[in-house]
Amino acid sequence: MASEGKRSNRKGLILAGAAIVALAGLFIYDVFFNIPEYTKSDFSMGTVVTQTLTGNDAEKAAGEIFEAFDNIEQKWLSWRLPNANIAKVNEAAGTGFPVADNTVEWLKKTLDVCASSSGALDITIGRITALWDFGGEYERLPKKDEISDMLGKVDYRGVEFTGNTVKIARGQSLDMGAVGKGIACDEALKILRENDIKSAIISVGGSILLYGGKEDFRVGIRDPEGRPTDYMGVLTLKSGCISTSGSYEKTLVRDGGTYHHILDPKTGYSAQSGLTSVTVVCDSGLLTDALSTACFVLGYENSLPLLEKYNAHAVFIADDRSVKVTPGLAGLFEIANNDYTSDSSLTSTGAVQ
Amino acid sequence: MKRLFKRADFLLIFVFCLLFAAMFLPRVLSSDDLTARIYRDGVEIYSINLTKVASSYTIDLKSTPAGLVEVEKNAIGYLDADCPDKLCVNTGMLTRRGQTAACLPAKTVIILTGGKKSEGAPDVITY
Repeated sequence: MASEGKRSNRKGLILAGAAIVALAGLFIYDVFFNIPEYTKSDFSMGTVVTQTLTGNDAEKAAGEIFEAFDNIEQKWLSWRLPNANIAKVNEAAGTGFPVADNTVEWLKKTLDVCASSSGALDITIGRITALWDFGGEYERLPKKDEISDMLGKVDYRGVEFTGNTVKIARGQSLDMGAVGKGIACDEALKILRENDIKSAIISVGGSILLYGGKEDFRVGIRDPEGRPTDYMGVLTLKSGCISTSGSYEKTLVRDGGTYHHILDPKTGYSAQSGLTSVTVVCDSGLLTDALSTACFVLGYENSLPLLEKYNAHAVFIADDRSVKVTPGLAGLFEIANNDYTSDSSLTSTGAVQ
Repeated sequence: MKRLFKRADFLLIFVFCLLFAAMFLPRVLSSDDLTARIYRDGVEIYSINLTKVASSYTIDLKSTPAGLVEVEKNAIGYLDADCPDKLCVNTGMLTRRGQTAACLPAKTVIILTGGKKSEGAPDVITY
């Protein structure tokens, strides 16, 4: 009898053990290998936002990110929406307006790039961008005297801080369009961390945030002469922010001329630096966005010290389809379209050495 | 010598294995076909398994301005739109996971998910 009981106990233990192992296997699979992926596209900050997140709280995080983006535009950065901090600063030109802590931080970081680029990026260009209104309802080719009248007001050194009160000179107008999408990427990163997201690709109108993931991400750089889905090269990256400024994105054809939306603050007209696109990679979305605009205006040679200062890296595409890559992206960039040629440092396989 | 397990035990083990398979297999075999998701004003209005499209057809997105989408086997794109710049139509047909086409004035987006990761193709495009 005792022997029968022992055998029964042993059998029970074996079966229970097998069940526990099986259920543990399922649990491990669900936790480590079956993490839900969530994809959603929506419009925010006047552009298309696409998120692909992996994590148990992916849907919740994506919702929080869209909400954060709407807040960035509506509460703080917009110069079109009258209640946004920047719109209020513009309205109070000459007297000043107290803004939120985050707006002060974003303004100071952006103004640092304005100074470092000697005004190649200048956020006080607002009245001139409003004249052109690229992609907007009132898009037009401004008269020369309209531009020259306003050029004298463009000077980032006119922005003053007294605590949180921001004052711009009379006649000036701030335009944070060059950094808005990058700031959105930075804010998204905080939300991904708070929600324990495992990996994410977030595209805010072409500015990209890459986060986590076991495998490297492959980021295509749009072919300036192709359709929006065509790419001329690919960057292989583990994480970080990527922004591109390209002359193809918003253009105006008038009176036999073609004008693009990246304005040179020194002239008030489309920047002519011999480039069709600049893609910048670094840890900060604000910086990648600000630097891609500044580098486009500066051209390749003049951009190198600026990129070095911010530990950023870049791919430059010139009008003649030649491509230059800074050393920090060595081995991480390959050309995918043979119409483009690498400039000296590329091997025959296309990989940068 | 008596056997540890009797026939009834093996039956129990078999039933347990079936239950385990029923829980595990759907996780492994879940469909990952190339799928087009169409959004209007941030709401998903269509999810189309492109690998199972037998013959091409069009969808009226009922947006303002109007947009017409063409669906083919393993491809989708804007066929026509009433927006001023036609950027959505000029994007062409999407055929690869991660590709998107959008009509900003109409607030509609098409994005491809699932499908196999194409060799060498990017996960996302910066522009």
